[in-house]
Amino acid sequence: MSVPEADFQEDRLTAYALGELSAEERADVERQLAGSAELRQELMELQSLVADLRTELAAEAMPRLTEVQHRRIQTEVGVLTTVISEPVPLKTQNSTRRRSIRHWAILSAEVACGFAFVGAVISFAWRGPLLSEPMALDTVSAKSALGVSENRRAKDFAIEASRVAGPRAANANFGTDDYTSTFMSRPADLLVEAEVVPADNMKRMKSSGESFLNADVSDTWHELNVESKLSKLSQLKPEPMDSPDGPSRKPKPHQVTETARLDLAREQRFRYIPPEKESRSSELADLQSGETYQAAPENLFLTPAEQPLSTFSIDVDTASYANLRRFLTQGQLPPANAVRIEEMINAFTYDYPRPKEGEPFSVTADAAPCLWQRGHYLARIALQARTFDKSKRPPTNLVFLLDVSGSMQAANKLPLVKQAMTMLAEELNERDRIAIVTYAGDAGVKLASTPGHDQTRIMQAIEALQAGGSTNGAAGINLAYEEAIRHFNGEGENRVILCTDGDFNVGISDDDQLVKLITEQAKTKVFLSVFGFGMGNLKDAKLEKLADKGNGHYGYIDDMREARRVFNEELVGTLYTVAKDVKIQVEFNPLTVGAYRLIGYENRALAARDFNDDTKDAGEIGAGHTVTALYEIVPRGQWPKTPGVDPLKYTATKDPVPAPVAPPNNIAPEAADDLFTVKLRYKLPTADTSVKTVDYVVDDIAGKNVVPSTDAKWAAAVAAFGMHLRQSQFKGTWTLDDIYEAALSAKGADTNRRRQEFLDLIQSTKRLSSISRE
Amino acid sequence: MHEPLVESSHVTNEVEERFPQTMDREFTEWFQGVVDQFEGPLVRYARRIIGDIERARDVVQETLLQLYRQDKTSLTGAIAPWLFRVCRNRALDVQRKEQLMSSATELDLQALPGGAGPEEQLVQLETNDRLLGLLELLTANQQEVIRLKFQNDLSYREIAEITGMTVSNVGVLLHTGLKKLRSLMKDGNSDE
Repeated sequence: MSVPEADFQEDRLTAYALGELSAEERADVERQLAGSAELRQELMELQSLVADLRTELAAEAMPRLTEVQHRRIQTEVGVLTTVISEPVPLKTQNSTRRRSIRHWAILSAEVACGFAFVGAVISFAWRGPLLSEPMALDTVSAKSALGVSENRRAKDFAIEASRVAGPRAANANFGTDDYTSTFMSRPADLLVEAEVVPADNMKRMKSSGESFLNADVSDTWHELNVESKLSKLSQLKPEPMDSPDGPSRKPKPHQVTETARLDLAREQRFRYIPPEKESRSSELADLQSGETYQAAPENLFLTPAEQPLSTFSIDVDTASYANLRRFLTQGQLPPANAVRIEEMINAFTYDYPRPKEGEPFSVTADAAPCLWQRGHYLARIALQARTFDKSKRPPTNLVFLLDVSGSMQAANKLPLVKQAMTMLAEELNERDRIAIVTYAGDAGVKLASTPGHDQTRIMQAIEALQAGGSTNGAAGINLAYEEAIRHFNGEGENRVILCTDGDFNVGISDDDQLVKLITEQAKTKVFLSVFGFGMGNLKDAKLEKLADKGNGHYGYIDDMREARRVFNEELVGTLYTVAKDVKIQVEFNPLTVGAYRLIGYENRALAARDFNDDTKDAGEIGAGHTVTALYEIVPRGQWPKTPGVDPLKYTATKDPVPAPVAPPNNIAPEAADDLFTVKLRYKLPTADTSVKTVDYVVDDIAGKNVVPSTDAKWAAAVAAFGMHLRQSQFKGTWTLDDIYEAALSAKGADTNRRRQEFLDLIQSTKRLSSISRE
Repeated sequence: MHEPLVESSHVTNEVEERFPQTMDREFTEWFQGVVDQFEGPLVRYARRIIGDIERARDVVQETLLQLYRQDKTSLTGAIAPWLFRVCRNRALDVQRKEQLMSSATELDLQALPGGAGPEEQLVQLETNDRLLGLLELLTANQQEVIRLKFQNDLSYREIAEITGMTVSNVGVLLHTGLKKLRSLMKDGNSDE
């Protein structure tokens, strides 16, 4: 090519970062990257600039044509063809209606498309969120705010459509009436409309999601179209306005032909996970990407009168934060189920007291007025693990277990893994060992355990890694643990580091079996870290579960910035466990607390009796980690919120509204003013029995003038932002502006600029929300 | 001369946005989808070239009508590059005519790169503080290429198609643009 010689190298790097190179050229650049730290730094800066640019450019104002111009175009085109210009009883104004009708054709097709997939997979996807994936699909990074606004509009529209379509639409219920929310139960009617815009339809699906469809899907669509054409007119006849939840009839066979069904099943990468009814926002996003997130219904308010104990496992993961940052940076609102609030809160550093000599971590707790709900309190429980000096860290026996399957080829996957590994390997010395095991088709040891100072051999092995083949996770896991055990270091840290996009598809791909395998291996006292790379088919739920069972930690790495943070800055914390199976139990005082709600930690809940059961697995905490848990507390006097029903006259049941609690006789007078007591149990890294910490008591703050500390305010702002993204019913009165203000005032020194980045994310969300409201 | 491109977004562009080779009615429906999806991005793009929102809208309206009137057999390949290319040429035409007519009004137009309502101005203010502000310091060519790439997700090849440059020109422009941005950012940071 005619590129000037002088610019060649740098120019290439830019093209590499933007995915503009051929496989051959890419390999070439990767070789150079492996050999030059300077170049890697360069790439990292470039990637972070590109991410910022995308965010800011996506937020630029995007005015549409005027209504007059729309009419001008429509006159020219002579649209509003007979079918779709039939009067539809919408209670909207004329101009809006025209627009709506226009959207009808297009958007309903989109929705229907999503539904066809649901139809194809729902029968077996329904029971569990995790399924094997028959195809390894590469990802598409189709982003832009456009995708989001389309998404949003599709939804609004679908809701509207379902209002109009009325009960007839309920025919095509899949028999999963349990969660067919208003707009979800109408595949047949929507499907009928699909024929009008097959090409557009495909495009939309791709540009708004992150998976790509093969061209033959369009054939599938045409097939569907022919079928549905006949019934089109009658289907579109105006129906009387009816309740959106019109009478649900027996499911009738879907109009998808068997061929289409098979095609769709072959194409399946949309796995349906029952959403929460409240958070519609997530559904389409989930359906349109190959990413899977486990639904975790929010914790509700509980009363201490009925459930005085709240028990959960700690969680030091931060993957959810990195992941939602990726969504927002690309101009998309994250699906609700991708938002795990505790992981957002724990992604930041806080200034908590250092642990006493000889203790793995410190525990503090406090309460202050809740910022998003007047009259409520926000209680905080904080753990701070002890830190190691980097130079005094224990020796490390590391085994990298790398997914080198075809789907890892993308620039933000294996190449990024390699860079991250290089950074980490540079930190190793003669006391450490590192091995590399790959899995893809055949699992293999690429680098037998090697002392850390043999840098040449290590770097060569990293450099030689290439993607290709399908994934056999299980064989790789076994090999990696074998390698780790062979060089087990009783004095130090032994750890398998799994880097993958989670697409196990050969051998054991059944999640339960994988989890079982990991649980088995975890008994060897080798810890596991799981790092998710890339996007598009990230199996978030699966990876989190694996790390959880493998006594480890789950991180998500989207770019060099995050790789550097995790592998370099937080190396010690990421790798050195100071305590394992850490469980928290909080006892609330019914005399002062009307109700409480744990914010986040939804998938970390434990039964009260599990607290003292040492066989029950829980979260690990690494050197330097902080863990923060928040409870929203409704003071006793303000609960119940609504007047309950009258007592039943004929049936002696438990009062639906908890009766005011009489002070128990055995309560110590000095404890009557307590709000709650925190207890913790944990095991030291190599121990089998756990230790209990001293109880930590927090007093009632009623009538006291308590002001939240800076860190408490920051954590509250992060939690509020998380609730906002989840569209939580508990988000209270705070708007994004309020959250921003609070966060800004609590930003503090922010030496690593993580908090500034968070502030930027709030702003992006604000812009994205206003775009999608348009 | 085009090598198979690797990043999947290109695959997307290639497969997804083909012109439909179908009947009139379907074309009409498809067309409406195109209007819906592209009017916003096109207005935004045209406005960068012309500087005036109303003229930008006119250009986009004409672009879309041209698409509808186009001999369908002549439409092959991806839709996005076609739209942006036509829109760009029309916008440049308008801009040239404006410049011939009066330089005074042109100044006014340049000074107000929006004619935006209060809401839009707010957005401008919010975003201008950082990168977008710096972006204004690049050459018009660099800015355009950067916007086409990162705002509209087009590939080097598509950008080349739209702007009439060669693919390697696009690569070099993007590269130098990003490099300049980075050095501008570093200057800014060291001032803090």
